[in-house]
Amino acid sequence: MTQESNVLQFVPFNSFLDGGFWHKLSDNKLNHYGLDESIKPLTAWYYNGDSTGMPCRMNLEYTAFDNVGPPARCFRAHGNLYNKNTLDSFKEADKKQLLEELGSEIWKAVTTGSAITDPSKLSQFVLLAFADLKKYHYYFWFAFPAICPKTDFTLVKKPSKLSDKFSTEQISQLIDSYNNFQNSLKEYVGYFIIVEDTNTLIIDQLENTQKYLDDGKKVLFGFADPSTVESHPGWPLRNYLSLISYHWCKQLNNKVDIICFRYVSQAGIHNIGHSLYLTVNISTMSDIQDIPKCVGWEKNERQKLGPRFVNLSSSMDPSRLAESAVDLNLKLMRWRLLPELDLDVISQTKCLLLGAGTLGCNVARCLLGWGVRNITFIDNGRVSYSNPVRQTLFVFNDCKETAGGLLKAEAAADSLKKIFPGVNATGVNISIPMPGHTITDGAIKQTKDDIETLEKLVSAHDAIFLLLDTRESRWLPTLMAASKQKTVICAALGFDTFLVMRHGNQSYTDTGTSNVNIPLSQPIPGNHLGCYFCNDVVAPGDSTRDRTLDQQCTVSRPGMSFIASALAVELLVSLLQHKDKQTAPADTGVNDEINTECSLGLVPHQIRGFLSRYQQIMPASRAFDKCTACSKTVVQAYKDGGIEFLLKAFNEPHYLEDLTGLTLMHQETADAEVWDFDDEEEFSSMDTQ
Amino acid sequence: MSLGVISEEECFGFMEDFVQRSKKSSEPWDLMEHGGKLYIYLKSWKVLSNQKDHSKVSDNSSDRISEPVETETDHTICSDEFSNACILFEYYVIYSESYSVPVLYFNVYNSNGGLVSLSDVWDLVPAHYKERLEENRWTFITQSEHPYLGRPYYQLHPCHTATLMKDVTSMTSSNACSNYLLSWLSAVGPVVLLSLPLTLASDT
Repeated sequence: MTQESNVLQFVPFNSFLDGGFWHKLSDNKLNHYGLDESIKPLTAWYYNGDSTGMPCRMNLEYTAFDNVGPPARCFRAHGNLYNKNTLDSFKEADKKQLLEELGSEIWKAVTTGSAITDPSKLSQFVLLAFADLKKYHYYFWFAFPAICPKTDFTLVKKPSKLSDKFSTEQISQLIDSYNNFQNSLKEYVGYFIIVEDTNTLIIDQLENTQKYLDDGKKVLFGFADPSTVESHPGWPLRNYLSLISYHWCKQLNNKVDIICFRYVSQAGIHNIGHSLYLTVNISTMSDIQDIPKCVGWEKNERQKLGPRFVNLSSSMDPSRLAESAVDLNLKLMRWRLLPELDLDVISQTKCLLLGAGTLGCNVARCLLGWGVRNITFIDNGRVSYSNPVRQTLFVFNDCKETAGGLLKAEAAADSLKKIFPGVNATGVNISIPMPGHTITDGAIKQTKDDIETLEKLVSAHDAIFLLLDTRESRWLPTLMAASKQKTVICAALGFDTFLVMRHGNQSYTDTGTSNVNIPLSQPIPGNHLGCYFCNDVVAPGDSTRDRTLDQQCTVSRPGMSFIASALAVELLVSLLQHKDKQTAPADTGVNDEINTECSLGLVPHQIRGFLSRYQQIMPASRAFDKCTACSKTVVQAYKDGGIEFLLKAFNEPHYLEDLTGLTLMHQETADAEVWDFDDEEEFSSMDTQ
Repeated sequence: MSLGVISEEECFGFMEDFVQRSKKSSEPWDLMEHGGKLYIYLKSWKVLSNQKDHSKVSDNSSDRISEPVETETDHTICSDEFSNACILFEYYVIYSESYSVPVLYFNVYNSNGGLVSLSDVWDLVPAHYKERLEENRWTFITQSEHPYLGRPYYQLHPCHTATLMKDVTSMTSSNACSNYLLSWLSAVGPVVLLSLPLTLASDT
C-alpha cells in the first residue's frame, strides 16, 4: 500500500457539447435515423493549449457527425453514438458491455499494432443518448474507455516541468520541431515521440519508435495533453501507456519517459515549458490473454457515475422560442426608449373580450403584440361567410367547417394560439342577457347559467373589453365589472365615427365621493369618470356631427375597427403604465398637456373619432348618478338582489329607469321642453330622428 | 466610412485582415464562407472561477434513470477538485446589408449544450462594464435566427452601430489601427464578455 502514493492518477475528460450538436442530432434523428438504433460514428476533439484552470474537455459540436476533422491545432477522437429510441432502452442499455465493446476494439488496436500507425485509435469514446424530441429533453452519458493494466502505473519520481528538464534553447527547438512535425501531417496527431539526435530534439511519428529503439536511441513518448492540472496528466495517457507497455516494455526496461505536451500561445508567444515530464514504471501487458478491464464512464454534474440531462426546450422548442423572441422584442422597447416601461404588469393582465367580431379579433391581436398572455373571448355567434374579410382571426374554412360555421369564440381562441402558441386563449360560447329582452320561463335555467358563467369570468379577469355590437348587451358586463371594480375598456363603432373609452372606477364605499365637486379646470379623477351608459344618456353638446354613436357597427367603414381596436388596447396599456392605474385622472389633450405619471403619455377617458374628417377628440365626463349601469343605486341593487334583480331588469321595460330616477328626470325634461319649443320646432326635430 | 457604415466589400476585407491579425493570438478567429458571403467566428471557453457549472445546479432527474455502473472508486482518477466549471462563448460577425454594418451574433453554452440565459451572462460582465451596459444605447440585445445556421442566436442589434462608428472613425487618427471590425468589437465586445487581445491592434 505504500506504493499507492506513487500511483499515477489521470485527469478524466469532461464532455463539452454545444447547442449545435443537439440541433444536428435532432435533425439526424428526424430525417435520417428514424428508429434505427445502430451505432453511428462521431468525431470529437480535444486541445492541449488551454490555460491553467480550464477543465480537460472533450468537445463535440455541429460537425461531430460529418467527419470533417478537428479544428486547427486540435486532436481527433473517434466516437460511437448509441442513440436509443426510448428512455427505457436508454436505461436498460448494458453499460458494462458498451464500455467493453469499445475497450476490446482499443485493445485490438494495441495488440495488432494498428494504433502505432494510427494512434488516434487510442482516443475513442462512447456516447449513449436518448433524445426526447417532443419535449427537447436529452439524456446522455459519455464513456472514454481506458484499458487498465494488471498493476497500476506508478511514478518513478515526482513529475517535473519541461522547463526544469530542458534548457530554453532546447525548448524553443522543441517548439519548432513540434510545429514542423504537426504541420507536415494531414491533421495534428495526439501521440508522437521525441528523440535526441546529435544534440537536437526531433519529434517524429510513433511508427518509427521501433527503429529508434533498435538503434539504441533514447526515446521520449509525447502526447498532446488536454489536462491543465499542474501535477496530473490527462486521460489520453492511459491507453498510450498500455500501448507502450505492450510493445516496448522490455526494451525500455520497465520505465518510460513521458512528455505531457501542453502548448499555449498567447500574444504571439509560444510556450511549452509548463508541460509535464513524467517517468513511469510500466510492466508488460503482452502476456494478457483476455481483454483487460476497462474503465471510463463519465461522472455527471453531481460527481456521480450516472447520465446527464439537458432540457433545451427554451432554445429549440419553436413555441418557447416564439415566446422568448416576443419578450425580447418588448424588452427592446424598454431598453431602448422607455426604461420605466413595466412590461410585467401588461403581460400579467388577464383580458376578457366580450365579442369576437371585428373589434374582438383586432383587439386580441394587438394584445398579443403587447405580450398579454391570457385572453378569453365570449361570443354566441358562428363564423359566417361575411366575417373573415373584416374579422382578422378567421379564414374562409372556418365558415364551412361545420354547419353554420365554427363557434366564433372558440375559433378566435384557436386562431390566436396558431399565431402564438404561448398564449393562454379560451373561447366561451354564451349569450349575454339584455335589459328589455324578456326571458321566457323555458329559458330561465340557461340564462341563469350564462349569468353565473359571466360573473365567474369577470371575476377571473383584470380587464374587460366591451366589443359587442349592441348597446343593450353592454349593460350586464358593465354592471358586473363596476361591482367588481374591474378595468373596463369599451369600443363602439358607427358608420364613420367611433368611441373608445375606459369606464370610471367608482369605489361606491365612500358615500361622499360621487358628489364631490371638482373644479372644471381640474382633470376628473379615474374614480369619478362615467361609463358607456353615463355618457350615452347625457346628450352631446356641441354639434350634431359629434352625436352619440349609432349601434350598427356592421355598417362601419372597414378601417374603423382597426383604428378603434388599436386605440382600445393602447388605452389599456397607458392606463396600466400610469402610477394611479384605474384612478388615473382623465387627460383631455388641451393646452398640449403632458402626463408625468405615465411613461407613455396621456391617459384619456374617451377617444371619439370622426373618420370623415380624420379627426379625434378626447372628451372626459363624470359618472352620472342616475346611470342605469354604474350608479351606486344600480350596483347596490345588483349586489343585494343578484339574479332576481337582473331578471326584473331584463323583463320589466321601465324597471331600471324607475329605479335610478331617470323616469322622473325624463318627465321633468319633457315638461321643460314643452315650455321651450314652439310647435314648428317640435315638428322639425321629429323629422330628423 | 465617415458615416459609420461600410460596404460589404470593405467589410469582407476587414474580416480577412482581422482573422489574419488574430492568428497570432491565443484565440484565433476563423474566416468562414456561406453562399459567397464571408463571415468570421470564434469559440472561446471561459472558466467560471469558484463557480459550479450552471448546468450543475438544478436537475438531478437523470440520477434516477440509471444505476451506477462502477461501484468501487477508481483511485487512478484524479480527484475532481481540479474540474472547474466552464462555459462556451460562440461569436459570429456577419455583414448586414440592410444596415451596412457588421453584426455580432453570439450564444453561450453550458457543458451540456444548454444555453446560458442572458441574465446569467450579464452577471458575468465585469462591474465597470455593467454601467456601460445600462447607459449605452448600442448594446441592445435581441434574439434572432442566425442567417446562415438557422438557429437562434443573441444579436447585438445593428441599429446603433453606425452612430457609434461614426464617432469612432472620426476620432481615429490616420496612423492608428484602421480596421473597422477591430475598433467596433473592442468597443462593444466587453458587454458580452468578448475581449480582444491588445496585440490584434499592432500592425507588425
